[in-house]
Amino acid sequence: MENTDPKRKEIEEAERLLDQTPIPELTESLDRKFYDFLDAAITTRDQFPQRSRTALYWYAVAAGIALFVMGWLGGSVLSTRNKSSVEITGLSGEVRDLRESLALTMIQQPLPGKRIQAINMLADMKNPDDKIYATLLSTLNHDPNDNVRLVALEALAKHVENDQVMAGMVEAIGQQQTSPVVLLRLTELMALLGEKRALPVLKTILEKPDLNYNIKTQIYETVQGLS
Amino acid sequence: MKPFRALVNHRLVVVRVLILFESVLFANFQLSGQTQKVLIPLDQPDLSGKLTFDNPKGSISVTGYDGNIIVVTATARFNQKDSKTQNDWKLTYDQQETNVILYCNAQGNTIDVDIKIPRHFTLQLRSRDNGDVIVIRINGAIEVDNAQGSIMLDNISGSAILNSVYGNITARFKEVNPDDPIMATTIEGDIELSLPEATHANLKLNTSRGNIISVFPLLEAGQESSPLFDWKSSKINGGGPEYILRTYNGDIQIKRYL
Amino acid sequence: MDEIQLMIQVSQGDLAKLGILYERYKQSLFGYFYRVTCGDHAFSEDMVHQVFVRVLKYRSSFKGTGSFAKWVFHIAHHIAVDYSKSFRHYAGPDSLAIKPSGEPDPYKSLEQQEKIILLNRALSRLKEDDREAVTLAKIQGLKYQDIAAILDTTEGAVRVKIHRALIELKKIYSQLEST
Repeated sequence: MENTDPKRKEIEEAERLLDQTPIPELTESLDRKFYDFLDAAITTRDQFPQRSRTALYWYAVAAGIALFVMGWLGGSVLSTRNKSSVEITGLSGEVRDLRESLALTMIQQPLPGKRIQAINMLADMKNPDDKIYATLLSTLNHDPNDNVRLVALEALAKHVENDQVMAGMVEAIGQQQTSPVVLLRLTELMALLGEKRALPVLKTILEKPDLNYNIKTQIYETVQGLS
Repeated sequence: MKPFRALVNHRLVVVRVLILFESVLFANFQLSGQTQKVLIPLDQPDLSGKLTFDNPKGSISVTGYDGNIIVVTATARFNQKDSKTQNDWKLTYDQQETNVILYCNAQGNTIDVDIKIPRHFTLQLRSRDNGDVIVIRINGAIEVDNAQGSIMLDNISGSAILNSVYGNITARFKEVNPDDPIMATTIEGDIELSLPEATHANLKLNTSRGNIISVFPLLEAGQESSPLFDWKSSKINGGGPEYILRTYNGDIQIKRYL
Repeated sequence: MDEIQLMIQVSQGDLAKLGILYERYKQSLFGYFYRVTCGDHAFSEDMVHQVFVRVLKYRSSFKGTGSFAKWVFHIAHHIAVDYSKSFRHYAGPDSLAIKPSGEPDPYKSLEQQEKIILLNRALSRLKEDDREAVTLAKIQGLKYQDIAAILDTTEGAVRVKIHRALIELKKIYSQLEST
């Protein structure tokens, strides 16, 4: 019925008119007004139960107790290896060295976004050396942020033809118990690569009781496929 | 495992709805048993600061404002009746200039924490259980880890690195930092990313079981010339830093910020 | 995250979550008021604020039976009606009080600003309820069914109303364009 409507064209044009005529931007003052209002509402809500239990605590004491160890293991683990066996010849070598050392510094930054940038810099380098591989593997195993670990894994996956990398990736499977996203992707890569060395560790993980259902399925299927 | 969780969630909703009705009946009685408040003045309000908070159990809400005091309001999520655990928990903080670490010694209680903070702040937030993490109106780099619950960011100028396992992730950027990557990963949840029109970025998207919808045109998988990399990609406005979104079961949506 | 779930949490006292709903709806609510008032920028912003004041006030009446969008635009509709009662200039067809689009928006080109003014003028010559119907029809997340509920009428009637109003709008706009 609507297709035969002789006014179809007018309606479409009117709709286009409404869609394409912009609505001005909101000003900041609305946000300010709303959040002041919301904040006042939150404050009065919190005071509401006070009539029954008039306890409002003001803690302004700086606590020196560290409850959580925000340990940053990162690259420091590696520095013990201290391999400087790479031959550097000519200017390009120096520039490369500069980039590399910049990346190796950046990878120790507290912001995960900067660490991801560092990994991408390392991953983009032509003919990466052992030090780069070791840094990426260490990040995969020890970075406190799962997303940073995942980016390190994707970078390593570009170099699976290198045996140090492959062995390191297999070894890393056991380190990802608290990083489900990484464990899932790592398992997926093992399946794609047909890496039989991953079998024992995958079988061990399969026995863990509180494993995410999707990961369990993925690991189960991978074990079936590799066996 | 998964159906069991779904059941638990479902029951939770039912319980919550019942509580809702109850609260209507009893003239808006509050559920919150006890509240603690912490004020953290900042000496240098012009400088951008960093807040780190790891909540063992409970939600985190951070809202930016135009002041120079961090106002933390923490509320225990239990009935007023069971009073035996009420006084055990404690909120404290550690401050070095504008670098602030907040601690919640929850003693097993679920503590919901609201934080009002100057807008130019770097945030490192984690909830280990039983709550969502929301961040609104912040200019800065935001890191959130919330395995069990959802993550919601809105009216953000900056960048974010977000990780969940069971939760959805929604991140709406009013402005993005031209250099910094953005990343969101989850296993069970959906991911929704809203970006300003003028964003320059390299998108890399992957979902194993879900669908991908994007207002920006996407290239098919296989661009990396290796079967190991299965993401859909796109250079928005000529490309820029990497924006990586990955879920297993969920859908991915890329929208424009409106 | 599910908006119904978010609003239920707000009604239970998790008020900070209202910020998320505000962020998601402020622009579309503003757009609604902006069109309905034929371009009164300051007033439209003020009314967006009023919507959320009411959302918080009546939070326990949110039952989660329909979408949040429907509920919040229902509130917006009532505010718009109140506004039209107290400020007749909004209601009158082509009244003189129409301020073309408030302050000029520096981010929009001159051509776009002219389009805005022209559309506002055309909208102002529509009947009040027609103007609201075409505006609601353009809001994402609202179904005809929801619009019918908001305007307290039937789905069929809403379809016919929107249909006619769009034709009328196009007619008026073309006339304005040629003058």
